[in-house]
Amino acid sequence: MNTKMKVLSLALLGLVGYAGSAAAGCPSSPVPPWTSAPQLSGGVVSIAAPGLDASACHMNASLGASFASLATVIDTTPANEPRYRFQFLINADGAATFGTTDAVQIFSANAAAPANGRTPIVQMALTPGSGGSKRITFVASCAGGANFRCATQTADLPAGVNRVEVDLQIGAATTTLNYWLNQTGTSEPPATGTIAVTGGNGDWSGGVDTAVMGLGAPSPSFIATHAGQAVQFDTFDSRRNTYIGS
Amino acid sequence: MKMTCLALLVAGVLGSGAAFAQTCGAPGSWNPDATGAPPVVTDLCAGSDSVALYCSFLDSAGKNDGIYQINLVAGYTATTISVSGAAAGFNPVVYLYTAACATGDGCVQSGDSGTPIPLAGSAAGAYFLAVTAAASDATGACGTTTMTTNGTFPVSLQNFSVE
Repeated sequence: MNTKMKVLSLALLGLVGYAGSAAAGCPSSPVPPWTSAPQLSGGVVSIAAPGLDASACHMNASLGASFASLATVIDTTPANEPRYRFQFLINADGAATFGTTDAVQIFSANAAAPANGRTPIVQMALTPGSGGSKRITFVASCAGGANFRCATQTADLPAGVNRVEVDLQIGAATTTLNYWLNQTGTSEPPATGTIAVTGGNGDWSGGVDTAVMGLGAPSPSFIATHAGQAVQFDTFDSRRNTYIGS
Repeated sequence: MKMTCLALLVAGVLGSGAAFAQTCGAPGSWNPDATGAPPVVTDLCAGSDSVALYCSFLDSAGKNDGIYQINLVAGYTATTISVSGAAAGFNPVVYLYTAACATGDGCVQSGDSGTPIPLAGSAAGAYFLAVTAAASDATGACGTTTMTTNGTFPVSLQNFSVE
């Protein structure tokens, strides 16, 4: 985790292929390479071995029993990016079987200023799937949706590590969110799912300025049953243009 | 004479925190005495939406906010800030933060009806204190909240003269 995280800032400059030392010990803090790591009301971010892929370490995030609990890392290196592609690995098995009202936010790509009253361009959350499983729900800001929100969700997540990749394209007339779930290979395949918004920059507020990953905004039942349970993250990568893949 | 006016002014401030607009444009003030009195009551349903996102992550769009500006002065005795007023579909939360008001950023503490904000160890300085509905509550969720504390912040006298 510690090495892959560094890909973030480099990838924003269009560089790929950074490789750190897998033998290095896990750092005690995710900062740097992340800009900051807010942890509030019992929320905890920690680094532990091994990584979820070939990296040396991963990040654990867990929440306290509070609606205001927060366990996140923040990257402020994006600069009003009109196109923002990102990928990370997540293993949510630590948060045991999801009830039908369990939900917790895991990612947010934010604009520098609100549009239609909303600052997040896209938010991602773990939400209930079938039979106690989990899905990822994407909520994109859009003028045409209820309360300026347009949503889609993945199929049930397989147990274990899942790889999710997103491509946000903010155009003058049409903006699009494409996502891929557990795709293999480095060639860009058709998206697993899409949110298309007509309205352009007015709906998406000009581009991604901040990325936040971790846990927050728990539902009441998540607080009651999953406080202290760690969700694992790893290998965050963000770029302007190129497909990331695996 | 000015002492009398000052006393009246201070009394007015102490007793009228809830009468302010409690927005980023006009934050309310809260100057509790040594016992923490008075509490601050905020009717969020009658308020307005000042902040779209707290702590870079917690969506507050479409949910009204009660915004207060407090000054923790060295020697403050308050150790917690609690909030109450939860109702069906409404779970009040409070955020203590330092960045520009409308950004809701620079969070240093948070709390809800079961988890008071701890103040012990917080650096002296000016903070925004926001009360709103939990990020997981539905858009438009609101209610009447009461914030309490257990000591003084205390007031920092900015100007004083006797003629």
